[in-house]
Amino acid sequence: MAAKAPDRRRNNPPSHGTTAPVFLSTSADAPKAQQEARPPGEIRKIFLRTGLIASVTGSSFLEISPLKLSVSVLGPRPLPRSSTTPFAAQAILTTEVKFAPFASTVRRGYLRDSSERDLGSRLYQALVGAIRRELYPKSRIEVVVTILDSEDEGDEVNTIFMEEGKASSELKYWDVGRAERALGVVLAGCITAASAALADAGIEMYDLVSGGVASVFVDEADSKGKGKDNSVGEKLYVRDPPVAPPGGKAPLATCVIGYMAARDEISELWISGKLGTRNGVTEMDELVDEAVAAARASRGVLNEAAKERVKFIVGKAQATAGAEGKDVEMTG
Amino acid sequence: MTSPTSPVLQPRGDSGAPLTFSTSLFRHISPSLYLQRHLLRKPPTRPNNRQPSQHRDLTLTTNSLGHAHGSAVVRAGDTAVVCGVRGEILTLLPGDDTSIFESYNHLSTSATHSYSSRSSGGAGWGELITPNVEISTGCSKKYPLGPPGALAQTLSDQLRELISASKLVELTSLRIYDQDADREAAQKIKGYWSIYVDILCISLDGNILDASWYAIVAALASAKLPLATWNQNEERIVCHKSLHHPVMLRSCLPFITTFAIVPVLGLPGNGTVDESVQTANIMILNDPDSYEEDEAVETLTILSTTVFTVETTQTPNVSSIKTRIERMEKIGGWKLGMSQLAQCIQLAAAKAAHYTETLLQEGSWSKQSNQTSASLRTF
Repeated sequence: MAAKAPDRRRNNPPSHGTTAPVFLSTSADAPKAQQEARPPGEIRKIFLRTGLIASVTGSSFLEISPLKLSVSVLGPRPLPRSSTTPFAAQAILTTEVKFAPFASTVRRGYLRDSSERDLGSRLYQALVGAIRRELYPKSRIEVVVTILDSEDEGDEVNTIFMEEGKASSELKYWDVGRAERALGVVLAGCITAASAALADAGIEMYDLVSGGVASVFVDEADSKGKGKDNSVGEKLYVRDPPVAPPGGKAPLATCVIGYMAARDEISELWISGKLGTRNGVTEMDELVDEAVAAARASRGVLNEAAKERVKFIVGKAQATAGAEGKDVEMTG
Repeated sequence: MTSPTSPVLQPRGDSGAPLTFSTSLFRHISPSLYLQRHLLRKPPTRPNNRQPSQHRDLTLTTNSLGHAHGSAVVRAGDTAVVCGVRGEILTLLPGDDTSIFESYNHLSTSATHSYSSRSSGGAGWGELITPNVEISTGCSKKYPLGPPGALAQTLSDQLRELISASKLVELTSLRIYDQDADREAAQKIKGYWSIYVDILCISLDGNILDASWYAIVAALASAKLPLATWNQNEERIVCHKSLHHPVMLRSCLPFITTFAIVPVLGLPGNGTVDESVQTANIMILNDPDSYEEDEAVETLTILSTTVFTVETTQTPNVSSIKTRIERMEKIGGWKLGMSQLAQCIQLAAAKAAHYTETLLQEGSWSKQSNQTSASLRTF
C-alpha cells in the first residue's frame, strides 16, 4: 500500500508495493463481542511509572491492557537564538503524538497522519492550562508521546476484508464511534501519562491532569430489551470503554476529558456522537460525570506514581549522600 | 579512592585555597579529563562503574506487542529500544523478475547501493527486509524531533547492510507459493513476505547499534507469520487465521559488538596497569554509553558469529567454541593495534555468548527449535 513517493531519509520497501495480509474469514469465527468481566463503572488497571528514561528531563510509561505508550518531556530549554524567534513571555509548549508503525492493525507510516495531529492538539489543550508557563519565559517544553501498542478501530475490519462486498448495514452501525472510542482511550492515556512525565520533569503545574473516557450505549434495535440495570432510558454508561461494544449494545456517544481533580476543573472536553435531553436531565451532563469519575480513578494511579517517584529520589539522594566522598577526587 | 594529584587542575583563588568543583559539575565542564581520571584508577573504572571490558547487562522481552508479528524490547543500561517486525505481502505480477528478491547479493556494497538507489529516487529499493530506526522519539535531549537526522539515517542504512551482509533471514521462509497440485510447475512463487523491521529508540544512552541489532535478531527469531497461499478463486494471496510459521533465521546467529577507543594521557605503559593496554594513551571501552561515545576517537564494530555448545539442561549454559568474524568496521584513527583487535574479538565472542544466553532464557529461540532441533545443537 505504501508505494508512494519514497522517503529519501529512510529505507523503503521494495518498489512493487506491499499490502497488509488479508485473511479469509468464515462466518463461524467471528468473536466480535468479547465480553470483559469488568463492570461498566470500573476502569481497566493502569500501570504507570515515571523516570525510566535517564537522558531526558521527565518521562513516563503507561500501560492499560493493550495500550502501551511512552512519554518523554524535553525542557524547559531555551528557545533557539535567532532573529526570527519572537519573545515569549510564557513557555511554549509543543506536544507530539506518534504511533509506532507496529502499533495498530494496519501499518502506519512514519509521517504523522491526521489522527496523530488531532491527538497532539487535544493533548496540548489538556496540558497547556495546567502548566505554570509564566514561570518559564523564553523557553520551550516539548512533550513527545510514542504509542507502542494500542487497541485500534481496525482490529476486526482487517479480518473481514474479504467479505466487504456484502458487509451488512448492521456492521456499519456497530462501527459508528469505533474510531472515537479507540482514540479516546488513547487520548486519556496520553493525558494521564503526559502529566506524570511533566511532574517527573519538575515542571510547575497548577494541578495534575488526568484523562478519563466514558461512552454511552443503548440497546441495539430494541429487539433485545434487557436494559434492566439502567435507570434513565435504558442507557448504559461505560467508563474506559473497550473498542468492541458490549454485547447487544449500540454506541451513542463518547466523551474524553482532561480533568484536574484538586481544582475540579476540566481542561479538555471532547464529545462525539449523538446526545439529547431526556427526563429533564441532559445526557451530556451524565456522560461528562461518568468521564470525570473515570478521570478521578486514574488520578489515583497518577498520585501513586508521583509518590513512588518522590520516594525513589529521596531514597537515592540519601544513599548517595554517604557515598559521595568515595568518588574520584577531581580537584588538585 | 583518590587519583594521583595533577598540577594541571589547580585553579587557585587569591587566598591560595584550591577552587574545588563538585564531581557532578566537573563531569559537565571537562568531560575528557573526567573520563581520563576515572580510567587512571586502579583498577581502571569507568564513570558508570564498569570495567573497561565490561558490557552492560541486557534484558530482553519478546512478543509483548499485540499487533506486530514479532517484537522485542531490549534494554541495556539506559538504552532501550523496541523492535517490531511486521510482514506485508508483496504480490508478484506476471513477468516480474524474482532475481532481486532471491539474492542477498543484489545490493552488495554500499557504494553500488548508494549509486544505484539514491540516484533513482529512493534509499534502498529492492530488498525484502526493510529496517528503519527512529530516534526522534524524545529518547534523548541531543536529537531534535522531526524527520530522521544524520544518526538515524546512518543507523538505518548500517542495519540494512548488516542484515544483507550477514544473510540473517533465510529467504525460503519468505516465499509465498501457489500450492495447487494440478499445476505443471509444482510450486510456483506468487509473492513474498516483505518484512518491515521498525526500531524505536525509547531511551538513548549510547551504543544504540548493538541494542538495535539484538532487538532485530530477537524480534525476527520470535516472529510468526501467518501461512499465506495463493487463492485461485480470489486471485490473490490470502492468509490463514490460525496457521503460522516462523521466520527462519540462519542457524549460526551473528551478533555485533561495539567498542569505543578513548585517549587516556599519562597511562603508564610498562605493564603495571592492565595487560590489555599495551600501547599507552588509549583505552578500549566495551559497549560505550553516550558520555563515552562523545569522547571516543575511534569506534570499532565487529559482526561475528560464534559457534556454541549449548548444554540443554534446565538453565541454558552457553560456552563458546570458536569465533568467526563476518564484518568489521573501524572508524577513526590509527591507534588500535592488532593485539588489541584480537582482544576485542574475544570480548565480542563473550558478548555474543551473553546475547545467546538471554535469547535462550527468553525462550523465543527454543520455540523455534521445536521444528529445527538439529540447528540448536551447534548454532
